[in-house]
Amino acid sequence: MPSQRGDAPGVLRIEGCVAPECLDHVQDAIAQLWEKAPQASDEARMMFEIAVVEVVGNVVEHAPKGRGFEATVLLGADAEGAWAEVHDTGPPLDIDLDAGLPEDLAESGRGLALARRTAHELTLTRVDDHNLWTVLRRW
Amino acid sequence: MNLERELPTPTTAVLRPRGRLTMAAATTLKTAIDGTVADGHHLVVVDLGETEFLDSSGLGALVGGLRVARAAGGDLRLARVGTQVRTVLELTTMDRVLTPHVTVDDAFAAG
Repeated sequence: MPSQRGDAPGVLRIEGCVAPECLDHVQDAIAQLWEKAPQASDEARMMFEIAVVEVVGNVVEHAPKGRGFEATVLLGADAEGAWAEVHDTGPPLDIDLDAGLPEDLAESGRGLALARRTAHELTLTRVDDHNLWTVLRRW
Repeated sequence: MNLERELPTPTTAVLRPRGRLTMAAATTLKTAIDGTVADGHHLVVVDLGETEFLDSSGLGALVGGLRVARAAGGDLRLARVGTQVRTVLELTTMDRVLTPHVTVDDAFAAG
């Protein structure tokens, strides 16, 4: 799966992120990322982690059943901010990233709204045969 | 996530999820709340003082627990939320529905 930034030095990569347990690996990797980005404020760290967990959670939750589905998470920090790419081999997604919050007592449907509110940039595009999510939290 | 349950009285309960309350843990928490309410402990306080991280799945479990508790004539209240949990509640405007209380005792005393 080609990456826009994945070849940069210091990028963290989590492969096979197709089950809920992967969120722990992603959060552990985010903690490692901050060791290389001491300039990150507490707020930037928290907001970035919330956004990435929601995006990865969405990918995991909607992962097609059975073999053949792959998802890879890339994490990095550069002069602009902290960024993440999530690549998955699932079918094209028809998701409205601008959807609002559900009714108060709904038990789901808040994840992407939360990602939108915590990331400075959140995108979903179809690249060749995979979906590419990007998250950016500026410093 | 590690989950501890305390039953102060026959109709009340305190649940303490520790660590990360994300997708994998959300089901465990929701199952625990359902069982607690089914056992007659209709007033449930979730003590989030040692919950390091809450995501939308964990929030969904709390909302589901609130529905179950209210359906049984009780309530579900939050106590001791940290900065990250409070941020998630505020950004989703769910702090209006799941009002955070400073202490467990405050949560039990709230109307």
